[in-house]
Amino acid sequence: MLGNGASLAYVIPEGILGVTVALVMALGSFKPTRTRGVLAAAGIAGMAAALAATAAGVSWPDGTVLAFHGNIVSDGMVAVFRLVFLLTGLLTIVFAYGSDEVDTRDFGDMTAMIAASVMGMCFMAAAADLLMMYLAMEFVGILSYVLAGLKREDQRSSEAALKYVIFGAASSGVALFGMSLLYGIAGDTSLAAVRAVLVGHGFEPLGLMALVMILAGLGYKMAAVPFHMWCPDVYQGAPTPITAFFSVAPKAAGFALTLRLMDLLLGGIDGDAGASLGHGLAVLIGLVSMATMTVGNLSALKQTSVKRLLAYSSIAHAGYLLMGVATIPAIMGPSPDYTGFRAVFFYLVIYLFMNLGAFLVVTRVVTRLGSDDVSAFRSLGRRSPLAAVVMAIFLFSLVGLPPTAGFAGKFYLFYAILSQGSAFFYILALVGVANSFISLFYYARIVRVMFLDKSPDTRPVPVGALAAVVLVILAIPTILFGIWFGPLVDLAGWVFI
Amino acid sequence: MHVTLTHFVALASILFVLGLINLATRRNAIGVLLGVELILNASNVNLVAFSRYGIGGMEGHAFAVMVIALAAAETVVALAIVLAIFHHYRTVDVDRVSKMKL
Repeated sequence: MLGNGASLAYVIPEGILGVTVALVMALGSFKPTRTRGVLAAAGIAGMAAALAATAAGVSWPDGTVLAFHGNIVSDGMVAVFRLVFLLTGLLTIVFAYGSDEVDTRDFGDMTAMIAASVMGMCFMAAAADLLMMYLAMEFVGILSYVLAGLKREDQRSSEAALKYVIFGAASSGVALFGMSLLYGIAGDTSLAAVRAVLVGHGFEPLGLMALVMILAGLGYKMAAVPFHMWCPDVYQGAPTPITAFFSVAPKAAGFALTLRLMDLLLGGIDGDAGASLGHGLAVLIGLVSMATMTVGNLSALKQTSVKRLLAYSSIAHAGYLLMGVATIPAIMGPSPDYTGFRAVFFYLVIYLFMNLGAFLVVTRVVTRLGSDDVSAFRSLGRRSPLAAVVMAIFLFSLVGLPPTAGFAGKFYLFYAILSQGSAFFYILALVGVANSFISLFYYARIVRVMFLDKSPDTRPVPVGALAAVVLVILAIPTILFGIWFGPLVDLAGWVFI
Repeated sequence: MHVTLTHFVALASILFVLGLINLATRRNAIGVLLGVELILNASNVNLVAFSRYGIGGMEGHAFAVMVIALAAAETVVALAIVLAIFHHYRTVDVDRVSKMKL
């Protein structure tokens, strides 16, 4: 366990983000109307520096290091999740730069808040203490509420912010109450102490209730049923680049924190109390997973706003990802197997590329045509061939059709849960396959509208050079990882070695 | 009467349930936020009581101080959002603030 000074070496990417936030806020206070490019460049440079540092192995220890007196843990998992959060943040700033939904007056604040919430997410993935978990969750949460309401003059944006803050504050309050009970049971806020109680004499009903309350708070971050109600309204009302950010980053952070919590509580644990808790949680999370994907997919079928449709699609994807989290029994015992947890990371990386890509197309359409209705996408195949073709790639990848990356991701997830070998996981896999099939209908509907429906307006829709380049950059891994996923498997191997 | 840990935990549980009821029944956005505040303070009572009477050390006190600070920050953001909502809708009734439906 390291002291504060020695721990600083393990939070260098977060430090770079902190400096970026201060720099962008300072720059943003000068002549805000003319500095949009400067602010975007500063934000992107800061994110890219943190990304490059992480990729170069800075703050990426070989083993597991407990830093800041055991408040955070630094290991390969934190490092690979940092890559996910930083890449999402960086791309969000690029999207926002080209979008007219984010006013230049607000651009500095937005860039600073994106960088700060990425920093909070890195701490979520690293939390090894109840206090740190709560602080990191709230840090990300409070910034997200402001980001959702960024368009002050727009009714829908304010409404999105209100719904986000009410649901967010309520669910994090419930999680906090659960944490206070766990503290009372363990007598210490570190998750290691909670684990010691579990090993010692097992959880009493009160401890179980506390754990379920904490999972409720995390379920809200992941947008899992029944804590998903905020998601469609927030995604529809928030500015589109911010929606793109919400659909990937806080969800990934929620999953990272859930994986971390499960590992610190149950990873490699022996004894009956741990085993029965693990099996119970697996069934609970499995059932939530089934409900989440089914509700997400069935609700997406009848949507007419593409942003709202993608919101339900992101709920469905939280359901698929929860299948991987449900493989908790595998991580217990003397020879823990983290395949399911790795599959969650693997799918999150692929989801990052395909979902951000789809949202970038929506961002451009909203900026050019002023609407995110499905009808705005009519004849996009002729009006903007590049955007329509890459959108089709992203949507087919979201369905999970080969040879796209979405197929490789789903394949890995299904492999992980089928290798559990119990009847419950077979049923879970069956529900997952059925849901993937349902999702084909609503994704294919957008593709049909883009290529087959006639639009009264046939003028071309220019996507812009920067957006075109970024779209191609996002489309390449969406196809490449479907065929050549070796490097991504290696990266996922860092998630709990 | 001799006050024990049980009394504090009972108080916290009652506060928590009242907060949840408040969240479920209030239609006024400020009222909903008051419900959240009750839940947070129920947790604070728990934390401080466990720290004082239970096996816990000073972590509970530190945790409670952090929660108080965060609750203030959250309230600031939430009230700013409620002001923006009032500006647009001329009401803070959460049921009537819904432009977005299917």
